[in-house]
Amino acid sequence: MSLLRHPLYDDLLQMLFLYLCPYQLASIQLVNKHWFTICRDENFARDYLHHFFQLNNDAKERLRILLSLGFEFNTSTDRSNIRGPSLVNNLKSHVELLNLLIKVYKTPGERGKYSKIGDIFASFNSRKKNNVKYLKEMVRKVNEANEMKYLLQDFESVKFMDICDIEFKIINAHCWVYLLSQDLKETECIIFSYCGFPVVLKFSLTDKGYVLINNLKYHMNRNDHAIGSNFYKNNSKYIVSNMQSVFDIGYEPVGYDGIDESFHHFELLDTIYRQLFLKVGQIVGCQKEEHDDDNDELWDSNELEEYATYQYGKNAVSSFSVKPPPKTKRKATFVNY
Amino acid sequence: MSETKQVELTSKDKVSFKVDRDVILMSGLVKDMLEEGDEDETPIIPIPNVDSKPLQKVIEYCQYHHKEPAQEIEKPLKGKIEDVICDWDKKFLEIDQSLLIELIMAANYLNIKDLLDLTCAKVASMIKGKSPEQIREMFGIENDFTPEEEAKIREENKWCEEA
Repeated sequence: MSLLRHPLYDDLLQMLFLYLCPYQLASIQLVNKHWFTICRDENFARDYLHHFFQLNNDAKERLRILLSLGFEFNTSTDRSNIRGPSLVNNLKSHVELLNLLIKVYKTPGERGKYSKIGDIFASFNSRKKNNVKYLKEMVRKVNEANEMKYLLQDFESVKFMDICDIEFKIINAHCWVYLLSQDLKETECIIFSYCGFPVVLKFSLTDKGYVLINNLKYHMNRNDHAIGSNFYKNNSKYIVSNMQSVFDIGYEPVGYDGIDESFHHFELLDTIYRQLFLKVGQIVGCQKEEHDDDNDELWDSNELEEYATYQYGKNAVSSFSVKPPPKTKRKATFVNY
Repeated sequence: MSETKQVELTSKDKVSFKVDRDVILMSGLVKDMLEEGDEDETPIIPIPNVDSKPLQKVIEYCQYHHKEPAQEIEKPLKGKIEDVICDWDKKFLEIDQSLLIELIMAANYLNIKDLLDLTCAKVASMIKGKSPEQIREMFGIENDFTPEEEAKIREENKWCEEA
């Protein structure tokens, strides 16, 4: 019976657990600490979701399960560690929020009530009065910086294809990233972060040596070279996790019933931006390789290489900076009914 | 008519089994070993990690399924395992729990994916619907949580049921 008890057989046990439904997974965590730990193993969760998604096409259900299984994404290396309910509460909030988003986008009458993502979040958090102001302020700062009205895409356009395509996790910042749309030069995603507020981001790669993130100009200089080259060499979709040591924030969440006021959100976002930048850079790089026959004026192979070298040059991490973009009119993707 | 080539497998407890080469090629491990060896010989392959009892079951499985490929079992299981496997497999799985566990380990060691899937799914179906207490009792697992830790996890998991 060593299979069921010995850490040597964790892989086998996880293989076995793949056949259990999500709710049963929650129950078996109570069998003993060993089972608890392997249920919360990140690779297992990823595997599990991969299989689950193949069986279930309903986007809402997929996302709900994805988030509920986020409960299993324990990145702690301390096998004896048992997390408090904070992450669960936070993820539960995500589910509620998503349900609201779905409602808003499925119901024309509801949809007209919200003109921008900040309103939705504020509404979602209205019962937590202390958080409304904070949230509005945060969303204003993050998503509406430089007079940008950052709006949600139609929920229908969110694609849930495969776990590798829709989601990657930024380990150090404890967040999940869902792709809303992507083409050669633009990536739009929604980030559900550990600290409790989702953020919509749009990355636009330019040929001018910077990337626009929600139309904020991000310059990266030479320190990123090591990370960047590493990133390109390794084709793993989850290489982001290897960058943990580079971005060593080392925070521990405190009191997560809602928003944690003491948390350094901007520091977190800064990290997320950097890591996303690299991730998006990789995605675009890969796409370019796959579309070598395309006659893309902006991105011929030499330019791409030069761009990557420039972007991932040395010293970028220490001097990552935000500069206001030129004021441009942006076409809103939201349609009011 | 050419004679069917055979392979001799020797279990951990030194019991030998002669089995058709075509049959045992279902095992990734044996296949690799045979590819490295001399084609003309009748190879003797030691299986030092598997006792004769599970090895015999493995051979039985391969003898049936090398011509009747197993159907893939969905993950996670939506219903009972009996609803998704063939009658032969149902009969094959009528074994005691300890042999079932040994079979999982044998299938893993010998790299027989279909058998591994089948046996894992069987154990999962045994777990399905059972409380943590029942699972512990079934597999003789000791509860090493403190009451506080257990209560904490129960509290965390509550919302899974709510969802």
